[in-house]
Amino acid sequence: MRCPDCGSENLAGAEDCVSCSAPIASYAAQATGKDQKRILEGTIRDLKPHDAIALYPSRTVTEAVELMRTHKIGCVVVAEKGGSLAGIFTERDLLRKVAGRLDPSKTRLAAVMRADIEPLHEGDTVAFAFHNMAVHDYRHIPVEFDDGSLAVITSRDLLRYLCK
Amino acid sequence: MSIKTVALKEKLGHIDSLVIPIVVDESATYKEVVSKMAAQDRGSVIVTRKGAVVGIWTERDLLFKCVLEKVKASTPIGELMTPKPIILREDDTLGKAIEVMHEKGVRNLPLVDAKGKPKAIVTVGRVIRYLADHFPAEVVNLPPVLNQVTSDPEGA
Repeated sequence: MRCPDCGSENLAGAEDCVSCSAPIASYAAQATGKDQKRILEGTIRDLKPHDAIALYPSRTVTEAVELMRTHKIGCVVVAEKGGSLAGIFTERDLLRKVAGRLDPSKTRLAAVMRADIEPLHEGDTVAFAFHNMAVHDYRHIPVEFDDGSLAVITSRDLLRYLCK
Repeated sequence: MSIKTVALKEKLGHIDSLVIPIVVDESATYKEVVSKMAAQDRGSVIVTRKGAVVGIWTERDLLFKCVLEKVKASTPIGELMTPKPIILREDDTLGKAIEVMHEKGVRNLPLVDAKGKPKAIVTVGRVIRYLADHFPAEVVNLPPVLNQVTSDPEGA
């Protein structure tokens, strides 16, 4: 098996890495076969993305919160008039940027949304969602479909898929 | 071996990558709690009374019950929290935590030690990160930008 610390190959069953001496026995129970295939070959479509609730950047936080409450969701997608993705606004943004600081009825989404998030495409593999959620700690990722429509996947969708 | 046979049987007390929770007394104010969570980029706090867990307050509670209601900054968090949360113990398995998350639709579960003292918070994000450790190559070895194409040949 490959040492997760230094990348050296080790004989199966080795307790410590031959190169860096890191303990690797606990990694021996690596998931293999079916699970790997599901991650490398499954697509974002298989995670069953939810239709996005989209708002223009000029709408207010209050409008976004009302829609999030109605649909029982933790994020809205912010889209330009042509339908292209401008960003997302999540409950974490509400906590970090709005609560106790700004008046939600007077704050536009453009000012508090996250604009730097890269969307995934419906045909991307599950590995990309897994990577973004595990390494970058995203809990909501916007998804673009071939027909131009937008959707969202959440960390719970991924967890459900992985543990199916 | 699959994820189901290995990772899900892991005892929560053996997973050291779980998040150390923000723990506040029920008398802590709404303002205090929100600023602590924002400063530490956390989505939940465990609420205690004399050290025992009595509730949890999460960003979902902020979204659904507080942010449009003009809650006073001085309101004690004990009045806003969700009381009697489902509590996990160190010998519960990761599989149990995931099951509870799916069944109850929650994303944050307090974990207490043998004396009932809050020890960690089990979050969906951390569970995913833990599972990712079982697939290091597939998950970690991806380019920083998806579908990237290099414009120059390597070494040029």
